[in-house]
Amino acid sequence: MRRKYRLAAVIVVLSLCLAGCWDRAELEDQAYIVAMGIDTGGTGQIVLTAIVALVQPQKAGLYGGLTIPATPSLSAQILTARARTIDQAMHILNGGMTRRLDFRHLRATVVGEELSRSGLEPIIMELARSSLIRGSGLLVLARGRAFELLTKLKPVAELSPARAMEGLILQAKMLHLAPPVRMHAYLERLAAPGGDPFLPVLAVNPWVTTDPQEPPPAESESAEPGELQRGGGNPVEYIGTAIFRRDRLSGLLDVDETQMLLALRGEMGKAYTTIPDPGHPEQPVTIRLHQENKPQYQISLRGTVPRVHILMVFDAEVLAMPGGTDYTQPAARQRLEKAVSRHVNGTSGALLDKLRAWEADPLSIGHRFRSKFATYQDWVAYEWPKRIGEMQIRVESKVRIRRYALFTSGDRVNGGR
Amino acid sequence: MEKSATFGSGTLAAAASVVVLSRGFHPIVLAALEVGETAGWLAMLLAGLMSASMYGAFSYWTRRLPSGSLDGLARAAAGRLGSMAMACLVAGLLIHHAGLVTRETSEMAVSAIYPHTPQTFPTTGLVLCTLFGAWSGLSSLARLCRGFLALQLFAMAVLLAGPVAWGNIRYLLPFWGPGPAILIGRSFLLTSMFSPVVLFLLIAGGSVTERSRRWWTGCAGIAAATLVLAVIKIVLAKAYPLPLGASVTFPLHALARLITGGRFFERVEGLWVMLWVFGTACHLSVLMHVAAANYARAFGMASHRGPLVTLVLVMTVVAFLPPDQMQTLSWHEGAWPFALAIGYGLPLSLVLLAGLRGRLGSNAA
Repeated sequence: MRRKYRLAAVIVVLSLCLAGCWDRAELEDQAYIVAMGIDTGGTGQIVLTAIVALVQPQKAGLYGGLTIPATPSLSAQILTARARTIDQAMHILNGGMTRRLDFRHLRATVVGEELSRSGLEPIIMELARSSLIRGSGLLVLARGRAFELLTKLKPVAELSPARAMEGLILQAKMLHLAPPVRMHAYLERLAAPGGDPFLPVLAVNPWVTTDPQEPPPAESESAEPGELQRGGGNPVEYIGTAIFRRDRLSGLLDVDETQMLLALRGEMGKAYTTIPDPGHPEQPVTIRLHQENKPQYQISLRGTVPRVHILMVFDAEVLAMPGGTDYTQPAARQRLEKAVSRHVNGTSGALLDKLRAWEADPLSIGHRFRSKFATYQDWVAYEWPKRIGEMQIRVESKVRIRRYALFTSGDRVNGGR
Repeated sequence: MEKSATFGSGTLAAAASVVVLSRGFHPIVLAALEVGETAGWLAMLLAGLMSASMYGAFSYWTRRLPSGSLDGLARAAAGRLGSMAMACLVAGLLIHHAGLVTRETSEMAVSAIYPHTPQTFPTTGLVLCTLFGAWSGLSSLARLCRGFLALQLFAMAVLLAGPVAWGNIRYLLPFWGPGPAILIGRSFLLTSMFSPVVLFLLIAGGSVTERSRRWWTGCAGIAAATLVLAVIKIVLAKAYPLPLGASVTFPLHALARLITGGRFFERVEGLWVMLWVFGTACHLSVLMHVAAANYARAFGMASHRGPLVTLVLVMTVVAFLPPDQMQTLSWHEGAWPFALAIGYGLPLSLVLLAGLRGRLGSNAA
């Protein structure tokens, strides 16, 4: 019986711990930052821009939670602070708060272009060191300043700031306009010698204003970040890729180059491309490319020059062929397949030339050469970044047209009369 | 050790596995990445296999000793005085180890999970758990470990499968890290991490009912747990490549933080925290129990409970001695030569001495 009493006493004492550990934090006392921008602030300082989610009480009643305000806007507030570190900026921001700011629900971190050119490692390490910020949060580069971008963010059909950030990225992931990169992926690519990190780009499109207007004529076939041919809605667009050499920004890629980057990494999935119709060069053909398998890399290291041969295989579906050519016939189909293949080889070749000029390796080709070295010290001593410029790469692609959407004939049902 | 403590060889192996696996989330296991570089997992595997082999050899050589424990071997080799000296050395190593593990665990808890909690709070909790666990005796502890092992293995399997998509498997290349010869040499140094479990098996081995099976079940316990630790190393080195991986303060917690599933499934590391703390409490309790039991036997005391309170008190003092987190880790690594000497050198010397004196046979003391 005494044992039972003792056990009961222990359980009662232990139950006191169930209420929490130390310094409890009530939900009502917190303010959650869902997105954050970091820019250079001059003389070793940074400017932190924080989007804080607004917590609004729901109306009572069956449809209370569905009330849409007359002029919908993001239910968030934007705060900024200038400081030497992120933590210091948080303390400064907290100085004007009635709730304590918290990073626990941070979904995206946007870094400014100027800061990225001067080196991101100190910022990334500070973020990674924090127990509140998670590596699974998205990391994005802002073309220009992150402050400008976050203040102009006006998502369409979305009120929640957290959902808005995730929605942008989800769309880009489905359409392969930009590669979604999580913060830990950037950190891990930065840390390992043999590859370089890259980031998706958020850019303000100057053509998109509150009053929708017709977009201007396109200057190039592919769209640069911030230059999509559109009007109305959200001025901020998620498009293109920022390439880094270690932690410093080297340059930006447009949509076509981004698709090729993903294809060379084996992460493209499905992507859309439009090329001149080989039968009627003045007309376009729109193709949906599907990369089922990873590209095959053959590497060799004769002497000091690394040599790489890459073979990519795509399935394709013809979506639009206004030229009217019947590509269902074997000979015509092969001609179209070769044309698509030439386009892929040309775009990827141009991309690789650009990457070699920047001495950046976002394809992580270097890691494929690790197996050629006996020890880790030998590999580090080889100094891979210095070899990227002299690397010899040959790209080959095979395209097989599998389908023609819902009609097999060309887009001229009356025979072009 | 309580006089009636008896259990099967499988329970002994399970307890050994829990003792090894519970070290899996401590930063000291990152030493494998330091010594093995990209082949850290291989270094860990080699070290574990070397330790298992050495335990197997000691166990085989002492199979005819009636007591079947380290104390009996020490008495056979160097008499009662030698046994007392051996008990003091073993207790010293285990107290040093347990004290630093207590401090490491509380430092990790404060820096990664409870940033506003004073460090003394988790330290005190662990010390009390250790005292309670070690007090209750080896039979209870070993059976508790056997029950806990399945849960621990399941939790680790989920934890290792969760972050598998992160990183690049090529971060593990070159395969041999610093090169085969250097790797094997450094892996031997790493066997010091397994010294406490070898001492546990040598001391607790006398309580096993099937004496003929204890050597290989002990080996299997160490080897199986080492295999899991090697897999942890692989997943860790893949997600946190060198040189970043060698500086992670809380390795498994860092992996758990990478687990995400869609938009809503994340922040699951809290599920593992309880298991880690429980595993550490088992680790500390088992080691402090065998330290106290070995000491009590050598000095002719009736029960392990006599010296236990004193030893746990000294362990608590050791836990508070290092001025900071980094000093705790460096104290642990600094003790490697002593851990090698006491964990492997001491039993080997005793076996040689007893062999030379012809006391390893069936009619030995």
